[in-house]
Amino acid sequence: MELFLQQVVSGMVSGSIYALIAIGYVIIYKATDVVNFAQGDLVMAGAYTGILTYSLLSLPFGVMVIAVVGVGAGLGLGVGGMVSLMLVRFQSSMVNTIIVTLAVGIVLNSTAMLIFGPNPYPLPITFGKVPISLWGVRITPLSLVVIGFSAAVMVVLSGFFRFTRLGKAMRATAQNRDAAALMGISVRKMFALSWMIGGVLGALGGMLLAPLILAEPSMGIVAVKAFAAAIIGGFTSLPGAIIGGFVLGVLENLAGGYMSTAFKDGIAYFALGAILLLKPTGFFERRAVRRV
Amino acid sequence: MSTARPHASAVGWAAVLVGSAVAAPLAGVYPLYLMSLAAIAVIVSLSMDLLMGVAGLISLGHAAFFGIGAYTSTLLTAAGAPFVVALLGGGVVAGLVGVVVGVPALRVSGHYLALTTLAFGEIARLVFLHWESVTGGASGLPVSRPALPGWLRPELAYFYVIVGVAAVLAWFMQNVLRTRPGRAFLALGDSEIAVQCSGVSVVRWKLAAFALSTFYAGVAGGLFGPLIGFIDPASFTLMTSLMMVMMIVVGGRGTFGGAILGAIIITLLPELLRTTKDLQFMAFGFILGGSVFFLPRGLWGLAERLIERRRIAAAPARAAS
Amino acid sequence: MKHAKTFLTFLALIWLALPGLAPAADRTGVAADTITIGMFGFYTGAGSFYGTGARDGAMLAINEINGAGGVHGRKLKVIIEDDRSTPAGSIAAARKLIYSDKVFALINQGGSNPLVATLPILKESNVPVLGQMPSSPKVTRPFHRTIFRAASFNDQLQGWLIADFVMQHLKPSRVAILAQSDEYGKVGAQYVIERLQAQYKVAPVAVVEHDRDATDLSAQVLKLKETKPEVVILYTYLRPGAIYLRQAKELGLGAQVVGSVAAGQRVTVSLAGENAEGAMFFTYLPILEESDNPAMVAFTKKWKAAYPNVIDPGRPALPDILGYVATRLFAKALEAAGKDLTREGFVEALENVREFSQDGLMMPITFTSTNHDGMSQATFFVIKGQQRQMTGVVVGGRKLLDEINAMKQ
Repeated sequence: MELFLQQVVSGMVSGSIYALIAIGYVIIYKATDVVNFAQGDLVMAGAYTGILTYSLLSLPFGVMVIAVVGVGAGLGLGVGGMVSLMLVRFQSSMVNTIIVTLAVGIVLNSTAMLIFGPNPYPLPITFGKVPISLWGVRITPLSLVVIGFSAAVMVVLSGFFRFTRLGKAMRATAQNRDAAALMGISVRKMFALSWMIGGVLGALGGMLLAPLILAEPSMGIVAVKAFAAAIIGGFTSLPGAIIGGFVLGVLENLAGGYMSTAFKDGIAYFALGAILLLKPTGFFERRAVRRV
Repeated sequence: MSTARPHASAVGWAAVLVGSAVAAPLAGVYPLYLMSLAAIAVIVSLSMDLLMGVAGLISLGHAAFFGIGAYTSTLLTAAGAPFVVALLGGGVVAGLVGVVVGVPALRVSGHYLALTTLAFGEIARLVFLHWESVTGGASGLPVSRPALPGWLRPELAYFYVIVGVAAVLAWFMQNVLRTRPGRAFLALGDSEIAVQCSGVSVVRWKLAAFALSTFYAGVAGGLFGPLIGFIDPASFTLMTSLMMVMMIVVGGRGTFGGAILGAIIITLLPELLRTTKDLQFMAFGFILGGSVFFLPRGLWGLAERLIERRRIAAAPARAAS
Repeated sequence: MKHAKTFLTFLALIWLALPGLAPAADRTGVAADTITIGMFGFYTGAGSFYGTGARDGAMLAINEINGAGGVHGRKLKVIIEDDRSTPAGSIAAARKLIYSDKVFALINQGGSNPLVATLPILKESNVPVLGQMPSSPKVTRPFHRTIFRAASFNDQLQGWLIADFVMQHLKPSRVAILAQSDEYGKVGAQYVIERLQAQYKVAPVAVVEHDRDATDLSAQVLKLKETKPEVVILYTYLRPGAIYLRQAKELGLGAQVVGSVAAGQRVTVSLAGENAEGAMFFTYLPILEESDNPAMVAFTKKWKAAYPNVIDPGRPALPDILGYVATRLFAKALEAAGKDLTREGFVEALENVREFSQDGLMMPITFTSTNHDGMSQATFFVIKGQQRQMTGVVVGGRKLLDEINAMKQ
């Protein structure tokens, strides 16, 4: 039983990061109908920004967070701007927009490679070295902070969407663009805002991930798992994405522990594939898959 | 998004074919290797064009089918099957897997299809990696070349084999598009809704297009193994799938010329970029993004537009005279 | 008409076969004032940490040699190709270097899998190859006259030596293994297991695998913890190794860690921080990169002068040293082959290398006409107080190496 609990708790740590990144996907998609294939590299950008500010420039934790948020927002805005330009001005097809986001990801990846080299880089943030033991389950302060930070971000977001005017305007735009425009909401601004928020979430995910797994230019691959998490949640529901993230994290660990560790990392893809094939709308469907 | 000018494509295509056949004997080992790779890429690009250019679908996991074809034909050859049988076997198995994946996958479209195929591509790679008893796992499998007439250099002989197969497959594709199934594929690309309204089964034709496309990819894979002499999971990654998509994106969708042009460019691109060394990957990203951004109809589309413009410019002059 | 046709066909056939008829010269790549060398390895992709280090170390040596006038008045011209850490990339790179660039000899700084896949071409072309990175036994077994391995350590020997060290110095009763699920880890673990069984009649209590790109090893750690091992042998790369060290401490797995050379790099200390305390790693550097041994200090100074823009605090590291020393060996053999440089002469010169060490920076390398595996001795270091310390235990020797090379594959 203790082993089971430990697996679950360890899974929740990675799960909280998946959840954070997954929400980023969902926010962008709900507002703009575009899947941000560059999300993984935004994660990486966040991680390296953290390293740059905290490790290399020895700036305090708070400054690091602000820098990461800034980078995430800026990059999110950049990618979003390009995509919007293509869709609106050039009437590009969906395939082309997917490819552009992928290409941006590649450029970010190689930039990181050039500046930092291909080797793993640590982001040594710790909040005390002694693991805490609760009911026989060990968890480090760092892990607790990761879960806590993610949770805090989710709460803040949720409050934003529910209680602020801007948040409600975003929700309105996501539900019905034309009606929102008629109500005087600037759809373009809402698009920009959702890309920014999506980018920030990705970057924060990277910042939290780096102390756990060491940063590397290819670390963005974690976003595919976050993507699977978002799909589990239906891709159009924020609570769904959060639950999806935690479910995936725990499932991976349990599968690794009770089945084969070799397949642990394949679980995410299996889940992704299985869900897309069997129930593309996920378990928390809010909206139809296709609009004619 | 139709087959535009079949005549121009056919002429250009024949020129490339004849040109390469004539130039080949003069080429050294390494250039021949590149040309062989490009010829295989042409087959892949035809398969992608059928999918993207004609039927309006997308696949971000086609490297999986390429790999399935490669592994299948390698195993068949090792079991004693003659080359042609192994090659066809690779294509058929890839096609069958394509059907199995396609049945559920093609029920969704757009982003969901892109993601399903991406997930499938990754799953296939993991299978290649972990199913050691069959695929040799991370160590991969050595692949032998078919026995060819001894009076030709081996690299040259194999190049002709590849070009021959590519020619046959291309001719087949040209003609398929003129038949009823072909027209159904084209109609899918233009408007799925219209197809549905005319009472034609959208899913059935999507599946057919997908299966044919994966068959082609599988045959290409079967040719790839003997060229390199070795296959392993590292040759069939997400990046490989992306390069396949790039062939159509850079070359141009919906035309033979575009597919061939794209295949050649993408194959030669790493060679051209060798001088940039560390910047290679970044240059790749810029080229990919740039071509999609500025040339949404690919290089072939650009060429067509330029020709069209000259024609229009000449028209008033003709009218006046 | 009939005769004309036959004649034309005949001409066409000759034309087709022509380029293949030219015999290969064995002074290929040697010009009046240059020697063209090909260097290919995993400079991008999964193995890039090792590949780029080796390349940088090698180029340091090349520039030094050229700066001193070259070899018998000839400058060394190096053409570098990336194999992208894949067999297909390695084969393409080799083809280009051999047939298009027509190099005199090759230096390989790639992974085992890619090089092993490239061996058929290399053997067929008879170009001398000095391996500086690949560790698979398949590189030198079966024996081929033109293929040499200066480094890295033969994996089978490394596996045996790790098993020997663990059983002879730590004497545990319960040993477990964590292996990377790729060629490197799986095959390496196999050799450890085979030695444990054959020499000590011991079987590991657990053998757990992980994906090379895995970022969370908690499931693996928990699985190992269940079997209560005293020693955990790590056969893995740098990053998973560091992640393991952290998570093992976090989850309370206190077993003694003994790791393979890939996991125990200079930067491991900063990657794993305090979690690395007590961990031991195999190495074939007799001097640690950060020590104040005069030879190492001099090397570090040279290196930093050549590469002032490298941010990475963990450099120079083992791959750099390896590239440097092995390339100096390469140049020494070129010199010994004399002014009239031929491939055969170069191979012979290599086979006469005895106890080459370049200021003691690496374990001595010896080649003979029957053994092309350079290193046979290694040692272990332990991490204490976030510093690495040598244990002073030297393992291995030519006898074991000969035994391995005599084994059937």
